[in-house]
Amino acid sequence: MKGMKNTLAVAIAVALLPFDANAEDVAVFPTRTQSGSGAAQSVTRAVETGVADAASLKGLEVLAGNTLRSSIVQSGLSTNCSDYSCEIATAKSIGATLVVSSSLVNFEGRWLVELTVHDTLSGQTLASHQAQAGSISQLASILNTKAKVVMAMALKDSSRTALEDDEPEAKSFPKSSSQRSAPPKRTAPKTKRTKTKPTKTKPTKTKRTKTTAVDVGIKEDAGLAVAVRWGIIKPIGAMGAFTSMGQASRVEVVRKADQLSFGGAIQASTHNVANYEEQAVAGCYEGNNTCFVGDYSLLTLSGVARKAVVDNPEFKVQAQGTAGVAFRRSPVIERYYVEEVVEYWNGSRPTREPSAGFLPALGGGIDVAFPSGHSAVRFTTFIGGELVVGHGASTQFVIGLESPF
Amino acid sequence: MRWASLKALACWMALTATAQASEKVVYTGVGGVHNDPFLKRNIFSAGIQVRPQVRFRDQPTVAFGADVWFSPDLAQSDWKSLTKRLVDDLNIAPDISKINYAVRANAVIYPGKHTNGSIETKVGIGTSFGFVRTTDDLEALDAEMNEDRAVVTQHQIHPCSGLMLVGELWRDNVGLRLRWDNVTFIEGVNATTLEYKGNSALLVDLMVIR
Repeated sequence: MKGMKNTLAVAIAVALLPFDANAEDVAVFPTRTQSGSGAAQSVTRAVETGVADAASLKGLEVLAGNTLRSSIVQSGLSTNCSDYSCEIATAKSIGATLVVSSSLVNFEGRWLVELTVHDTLSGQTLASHQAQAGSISQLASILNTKAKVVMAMALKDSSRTALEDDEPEAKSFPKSSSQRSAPPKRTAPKTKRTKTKPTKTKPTKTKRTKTTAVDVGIKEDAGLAVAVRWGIIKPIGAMGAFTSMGQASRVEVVRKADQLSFGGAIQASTHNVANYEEQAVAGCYEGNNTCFVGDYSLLTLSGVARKAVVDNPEFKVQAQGTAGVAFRRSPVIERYYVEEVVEYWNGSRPTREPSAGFLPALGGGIDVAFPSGHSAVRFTTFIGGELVVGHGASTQFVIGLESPF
Repeated sequence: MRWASLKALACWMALTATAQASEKVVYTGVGGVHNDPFLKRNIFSAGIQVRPQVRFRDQPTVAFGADVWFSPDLAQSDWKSLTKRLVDDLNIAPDISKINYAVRANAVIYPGKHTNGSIETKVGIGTSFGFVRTTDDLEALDAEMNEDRAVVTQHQIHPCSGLMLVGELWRDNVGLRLRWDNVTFIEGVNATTLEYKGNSALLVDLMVIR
């Protein structure tokens, strides 16, 4: 009953829009997805049906499926669009005024579809709406109504924009209607609007517009997230004896989940070390031979796994482990290293070469994230350690930001 | 090493190209290194960013990009007065090297933004990884071109990383950005001397959404 009421309300809303029955083409592109063509086809069909229903009330012609494909091919364009700007440009080229785009993703077993309507003349987003369900069949069943809603929003927005611009040639659909009275806005003449403006023909581009925020009931703490971090890193053990605190920069991309998250990380650190002459004076070649040539950089590529330990609205604590490879580099010239530096160390050549190949690296620590109340970005801290086999161990403390994308 | 940097850049761009519903930003900028006491380094920069739409949010809060620096070598015109005094008057040879160019990938997160009418301001914090090429100033080093140990490390390419702070001002599809960009790397001078370099630059970028 409720569904019927919604459908009726949408139908009435669309019917009451100040629209003429001019033939304005609406291009409905196939749903973009990386989750399988079968699911995308079902969603595409549901969207096409909903858009066609809404458009028929306004006498708009809908281009979809094979008809759309044929029109695109006849225009000599590609039928494979992977983003909004391509779809807008293609739709404009075949004479469509509006373009309906949709994308389908799957988060933790739930399907989310986003519908967007763009004006091909200005490139503006006229409306955007989201829907989600546990299965494709459920999603398809509600998409008919959702497509009508987004069309109603788009047509309303189009008509308002055109009325404000008062440029009938630039925007063709909101013309005077013989079927209903003109909107009140147009009955109040404005001096400002009496000027005859030249018709603007803007190049097609996707402008930065806001989409409609809709609560879709899916946790944000899932899906891909990137964290950028910076901080300090302090070697311990033999290397720590003559190495100062270094600087670390780190980027992590993780597919987040409630319990166990996986991803990858790249970390670069640079370290200031006492020079080889000072180490020699300190007797580095005696005993355990702790000599090292000098400053070095360490680049680590690793896989990341995180497991939630504490999860509450104020903060989230996760145990983090990494495993990968590290590359150490101290750019000295080998010939002079042997002739001069090793000679300075009383002929003792340490096992730590100035520039090592890829060394196994293992790390671990605790990640604490603090969500922001009104932003997708979180403040994060990480404290932990890393062992690079053949180089040494270090502790590190980094802070940063994390955002979904 | 050059091929390695190009491959890394290509991989990064291929990864970012898969982002859906994203803004693509291209920019060009000018600026200079502000924390080098010996040298004036003017920098010309250009780059591209992909800003994927954040799920359930109305604006991107993440940007992945590739950035190129070019800094022309103007010989002694690059010397600051301190260097001229050290070299000419006191016969002291400072270890100075010049950044020629840098190619880096970066990731920036925008924790804050403010919109006032059609003007939007954003602040962002990011980090970058890549390669920087340097040239030692042999004249300042008081080394001749036939001094092999100075010449072998005269031109070098180093892996680098750094922190980046940005402030952006946008109107529609055009933006202006003030960027503090740090490049940290380890450099070899005179074959065996290692220097920890942390150059920071201030740049102004003109940005356009494509």
